[in-house]
Amino acid sequence: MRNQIRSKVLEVVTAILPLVLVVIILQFALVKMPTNLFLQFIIGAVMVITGMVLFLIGVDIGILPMGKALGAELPRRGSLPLIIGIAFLIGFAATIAEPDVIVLTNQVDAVSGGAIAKNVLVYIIAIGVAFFVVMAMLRILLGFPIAYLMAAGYIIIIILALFTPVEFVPVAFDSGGVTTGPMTVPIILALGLGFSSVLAGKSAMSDGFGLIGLASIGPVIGVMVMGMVLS
Amino acid sequence: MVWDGFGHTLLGIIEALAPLLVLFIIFQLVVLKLPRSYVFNLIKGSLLALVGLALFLQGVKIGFFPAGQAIGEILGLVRVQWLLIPFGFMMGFLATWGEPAVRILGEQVEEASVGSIRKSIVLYIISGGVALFIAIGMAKIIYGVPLLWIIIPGYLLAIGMLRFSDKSVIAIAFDAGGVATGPMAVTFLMAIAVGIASSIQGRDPIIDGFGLVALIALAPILTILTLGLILRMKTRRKEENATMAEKSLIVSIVRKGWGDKILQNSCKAGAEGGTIMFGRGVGVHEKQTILGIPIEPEKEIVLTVTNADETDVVLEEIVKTAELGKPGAGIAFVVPVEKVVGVVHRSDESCTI
Repeated sequence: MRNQIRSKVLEVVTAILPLVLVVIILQFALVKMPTNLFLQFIIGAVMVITGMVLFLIGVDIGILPMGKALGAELPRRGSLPLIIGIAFLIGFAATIAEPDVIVLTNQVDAVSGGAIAKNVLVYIIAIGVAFFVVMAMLRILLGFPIAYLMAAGYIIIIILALFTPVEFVPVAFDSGGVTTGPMTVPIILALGLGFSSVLAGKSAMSDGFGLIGLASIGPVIGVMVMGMVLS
Repeated sequence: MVWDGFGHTLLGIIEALAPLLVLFIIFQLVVLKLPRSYVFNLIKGSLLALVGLALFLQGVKIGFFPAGQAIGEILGLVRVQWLLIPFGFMMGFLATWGEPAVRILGEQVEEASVGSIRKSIVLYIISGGVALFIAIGMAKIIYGVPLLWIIIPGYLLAIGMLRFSDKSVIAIAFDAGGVATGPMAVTFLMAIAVGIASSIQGRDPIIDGFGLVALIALAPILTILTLGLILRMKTRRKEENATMAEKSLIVSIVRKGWGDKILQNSCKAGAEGGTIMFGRGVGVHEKQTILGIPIEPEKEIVLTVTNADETDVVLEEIVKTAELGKPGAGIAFVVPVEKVVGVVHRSDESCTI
């Protein structure tokens, strides 16, 4: 345990320190932000490092094994509706709670001039994510090639992009990225890895990944369709 | 000031974690029935992750976000605008390098590929890809290129490459697109971009500043697919030599999660250590299928080398610990061992776990 903590601290420091150093150099050379703002940055950097150490250790010993255990148990119940239901629930709930999604809905609000209620948008995005998490689980089960799903998803996106009002395009693409935040990632990742690890003829390496990638497609399509409907 | 909105962040994370936690506890009570101490550790770990993430997000919000804005506004005024392009490259790399979710994905890829794809490689490729696309994004802001001119050819290229890529590479590539857009990228890089866009005349922060996340999501997809194609052209082969040893070897194959407990108790019974491996398999009492695909539950395999005279005591302890008497709990067997290398005898010490 002590070794684990030491190696995580080392990892996080090498992860964050370069960025902090660059900001400090910029501060003295060029930016010269007010001292209190700079102090706040230093405090923030310390919080980021401490937080990331705790988070990474916690994910390793808590969330990943838990998600994998749950994912591995799902197919053993032998019930397809149960798998669909739980995948949908986890995708939906994780997205609704994602802090970045809230930021995104404020952006959309600014672009659309408040034409759509914020919480409706959150639900649209969450349903988009949940739907594609379910698709991803079914894909693992049915052995449907991921390349076709991805290609189909992005071809639809590209076609829609040509007809979506210009101001909605950046927001739509952004929504795909922001929905998969730091808490959603380990949960959905572990679910897929655990799920594929117990099925005969499948393995975590060849089938377990791809859930996050597919989950990113849903909200892009959702926001684009919404943009077209609004105009 | 420092703790503004912390409660709100914490609440959001709790909401995201809650369904997993609740479902897990229900499953644990009804079907999983993993050892208690193991479950407590999982829950402890989750709480640690929860607090850690809240702290991390708060730090990004109060420290990196305002700093990014200040940096962006100053940089937008720089005369030699093309300098922003290499600057964007550097910031893109460093911000992604510090992204927690990217590290989690890297670790899982290393684990799932049994070490043949190293975590550091995954980190370099994703960070490098984002760096490249932030540089492109800077050029986009400076010269006012529409987002679609970059995004559509980018995704068309990715779709084209899908034809020639392995399915595991495809899945990891698109996952990487999702993880690269974490809090560092979305708050810090976006703050810089919006700051720059608002300082350059004729740029609309909403249209030109946003859209950066879309570039960050596209970047690792393209770099990983490219690397996958390069790697595919090479094939590697590994050979491993195993040396086996004297005394006897107890092999216990048990349900997932019980390995640690067995290790602990066999140590108490006199074993000098043990190795847990993960595997999958099925016994007569657990045959199940879903849509015709047989289910192979995960197992833990504990290898314990013991002195021949202690074998029975240790075995008995293992049987008791893992409840091997019950159907479906697992099996254990003893095999003779010809030679052992690497066991140093310290008769006065027993292993402590």
